[in-house]
Amino acid sequence: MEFFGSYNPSGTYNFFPSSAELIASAYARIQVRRTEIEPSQIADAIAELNYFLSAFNDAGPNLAQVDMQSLALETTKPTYPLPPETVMITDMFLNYAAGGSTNDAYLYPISRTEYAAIPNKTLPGRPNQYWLDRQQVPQVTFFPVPDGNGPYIVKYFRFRQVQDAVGAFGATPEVPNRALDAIIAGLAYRLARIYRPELEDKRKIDAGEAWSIYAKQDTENVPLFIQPGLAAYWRQ
Amino acid sequence: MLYNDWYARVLNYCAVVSTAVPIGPLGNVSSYTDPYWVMELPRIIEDSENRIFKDTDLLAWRVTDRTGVLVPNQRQWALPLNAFNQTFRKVEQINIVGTSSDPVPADVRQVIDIYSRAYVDWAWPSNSTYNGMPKVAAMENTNTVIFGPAPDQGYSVEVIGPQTQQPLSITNQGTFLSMMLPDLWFAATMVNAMAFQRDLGSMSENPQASVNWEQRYQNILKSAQVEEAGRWYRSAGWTSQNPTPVSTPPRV
Repeated sequence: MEFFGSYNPSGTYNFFPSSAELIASAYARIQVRRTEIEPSQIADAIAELNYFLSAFNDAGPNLAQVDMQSLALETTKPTYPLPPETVMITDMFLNYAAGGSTNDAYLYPISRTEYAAIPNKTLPGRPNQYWLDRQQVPQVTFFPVPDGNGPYIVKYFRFRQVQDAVGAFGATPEVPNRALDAIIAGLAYRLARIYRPELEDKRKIDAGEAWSIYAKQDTENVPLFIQPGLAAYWRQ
Repeated sequence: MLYNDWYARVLNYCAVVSTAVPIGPLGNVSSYTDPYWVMELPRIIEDSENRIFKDTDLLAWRVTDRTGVLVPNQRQWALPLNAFNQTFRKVEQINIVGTSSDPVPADVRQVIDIYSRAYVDWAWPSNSTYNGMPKVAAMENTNTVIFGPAPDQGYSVEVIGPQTQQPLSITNQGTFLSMMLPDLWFAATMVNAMAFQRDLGSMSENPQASVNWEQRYQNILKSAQVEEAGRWYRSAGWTSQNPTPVSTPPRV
């Protein structure tokens, strides 16, 4: 056998399948070949892909879908709607003017119950807490209610839904390269439920392995510090 | 075997006299100038060539046609015809071949993935939206291919597959079948020639004639199929070698 004889990588990083190609790959994993894909199989596949992306959202935060948003607070207004694709707020801080410069103060999340326990919910001041009410259109409520010493600009990191998967015109799923195999394996598992139940168990194992690799990789590589809060203990 | 040799041999085997005078009791057979026989002869050739092609999937009939050019904003494309007005019996591969103005470099092939019609309609539903170099295709019918995305320019197309070749005739004295598989070719034509002589059924004058030729054809066909598999490198162990049943150890 003769070999080409020199190191010759492609030099490109352009591989990214469209949702349609991804669906074809998922079908190939359950032995449905390209020339046998029927309209009903296409409809099921695009639906299952979007169901899977919904589960993908639930398993977040997915780092590729984390972005920073800002919100200008209005005096005496405690509650604001957020963009409906928002799944969860990871971090929020308040940008405010002080001493000729601007500072950032971290805002702490509280639960519905903790918000309900606040005796005077209209107390004005510089907000230091927020309650995220996860409705169809999520909304955030601040406490204390913004006073007139602003302007107060809230900035927050959120993770949002992955954009819808559509099949036409080469549209790609809105996931990073590191998620591709997890997406294809997960979709193949879901399609096996419908079209190749005899392969469902095998594809479930594949999907689990691929998801495990992706979930392990989709993290920020920083040290994790855990320390007891002794200051409050010693104050007492 | 050239056409003239084949023709003389058929006449001899059919006991057709080389005069213009029919003889009995084989008068039904006719002479070689009989208009019915003359009219039937191309059909015998055509039927036999078709039969052998379908039985052996001849590599020799594979054609690579690079004459095609896609039409911008038109996802449907008619397969090219050969000099005998024949299109592909089936399409096995389609390549877009780059020219200097294409997204792919000149003389570089982009292999098109063949999908179902439903898939291509779904993934690339428009003639005029998101056009570009086609990536996928589906057969619309036996003569037409649908590409996706629809081409944005006149890409060169290369189609690979079997095409019916120019049949054996007095003006085309030799074909692959007559020259490379003469035994199979002759047996196939004799089945049809015997049928023409009304020797195909049990009530015929010589009911065993066509049956015998059919048996002979089937026997020759087995060895011809083995040889043809070798031409494709699909024989023993995916090589061109014939199977060797007595060798130890056998080929994989």
